[in-house]
Amino acid sequence: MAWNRVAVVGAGLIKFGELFEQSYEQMAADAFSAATDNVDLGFEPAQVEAAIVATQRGTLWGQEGIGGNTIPSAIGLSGIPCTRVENACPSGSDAFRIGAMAVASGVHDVVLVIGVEKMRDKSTEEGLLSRAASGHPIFTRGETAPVLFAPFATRHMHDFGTTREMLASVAVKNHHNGALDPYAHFQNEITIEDVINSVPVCHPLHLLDCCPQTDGAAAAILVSAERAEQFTDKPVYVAGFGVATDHPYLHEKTSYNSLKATQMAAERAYEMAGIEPSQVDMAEVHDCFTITEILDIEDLGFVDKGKGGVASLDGETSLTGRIPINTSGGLLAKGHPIGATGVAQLTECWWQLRGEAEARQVEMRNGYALQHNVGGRGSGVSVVNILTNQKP
Amino acid sequence: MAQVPVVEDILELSDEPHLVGSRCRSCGTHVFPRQDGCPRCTATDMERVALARRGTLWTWTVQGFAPKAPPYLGDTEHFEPFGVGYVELPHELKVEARLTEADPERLHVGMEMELVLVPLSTDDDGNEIVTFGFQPVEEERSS
Repeated sequence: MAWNRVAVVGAGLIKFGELFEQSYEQMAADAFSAATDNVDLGFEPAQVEAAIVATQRGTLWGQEGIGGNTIPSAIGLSGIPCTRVENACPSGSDAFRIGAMAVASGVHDVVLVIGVEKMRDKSTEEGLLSRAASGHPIFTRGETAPVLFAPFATRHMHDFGTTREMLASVAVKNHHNGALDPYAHFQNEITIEDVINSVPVCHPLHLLDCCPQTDGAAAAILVSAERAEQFTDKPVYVAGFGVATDHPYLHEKTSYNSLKATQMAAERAYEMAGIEPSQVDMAEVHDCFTITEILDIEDLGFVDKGKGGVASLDGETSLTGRIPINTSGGLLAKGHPIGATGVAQLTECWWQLRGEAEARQVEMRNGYALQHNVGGRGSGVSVVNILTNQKP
Repeated sequence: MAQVPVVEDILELSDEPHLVGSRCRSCGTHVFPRQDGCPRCTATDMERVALARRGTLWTWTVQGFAPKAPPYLGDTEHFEPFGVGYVELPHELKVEARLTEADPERLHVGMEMELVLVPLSTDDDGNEIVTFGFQPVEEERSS
């Protein structure tokens, strides 16, 4: 595959949380500033040639029908090309992939990727979940997000002996990491008992098995690799990416203990990067629910199928474990502002690859970090991006 | 009070209700709800068929809180948790459905299930809106 190499020279995010007082545009502008402030040798906004904006739902802040075109003027770049990407929960990671392709193609040298989402301005009745989760066309108007993922947990427990404690251990670990991440929505430690004793939501999932609704924004600056050293002495490079779709409806799936979209996206990303799963040092994966992270680490090839629960309980995915997962706190603790999520995960990977993750820093033996999202009625689409600090 | 199905043409109402699906005359793939094109081989020769009334529970959960209404059509003021399952109809397909059982202790992967009608709400004309669900076959025998 012939493509021009791409470097990430800046990335950053705003503190995730309930940001009622901030406008959508202000959140995007603050994320852009955070990313440019993190460019080691300085960055002039006017250097941005094009922007890709990820927002899953404009309806959440009352801007139905408006694409990404309010963002350039909000960040002082009115006039540049700007396109909004919507691809369910992987919207942010797909915006990054598309930005990377714009640079890899040689069309642009400097591309800005911004993910921004307001989840909290509208009530739940008016908001994303009630509208998005219309469910099976006829079965239950009002199917909820946990009802899409809980059956995977039931089946995983049945097939592999995964336990309630194993599910809970994912939330405990991610809250621990979130407590070390100044950008996380939740910054408190929890115990396995806290998870199991929280309100039942959809059997076997309880409230603390589920990610919160969070407002947030994140940004990344992509440049052609040959220009990277104009901006930084420590560039991070795009090693590979992959996208895959799967049957959107769960009743069409052939397996209920794996997500085929993740498996296919990962296979494509690993092939493009020319690496094996064992070469990945850490990963930010889609933990919308505890069971999702268990499926992810299996489907991404970090543990054998069926062993995700045991690996989580045994600490293999902790900051000091064999393959640290969701060092930022993940969706469970950092939050899941949909369009921003993937870009924020990539920012964590960027910090880890540069040795700048502070109390969350893990050992980077091989210099590869992986970012993953899956979504769209459970698992209709998945995106995987792989970053490296190894010069191509 | 007359019964009306929640969506037209998905369900035959009778003492032995069954779901209405499509079967591809070219490759034999079953689809529910009905559609005119085959999702597997893209042929457009689909016949209307009655789907099997019994199947096995593939996996399940319990909707433990009232979904937001709208779009939920059921009663949210007197909400009771309901089971949600994927029932595999032999040699046909899997169907996502409500379950009449909501007690996790009484649901398990692989149990035999049978189609029943489930009242959902009442429309403006006083008709009972019904959807479909599956109940454990054992439960039927013991009652």
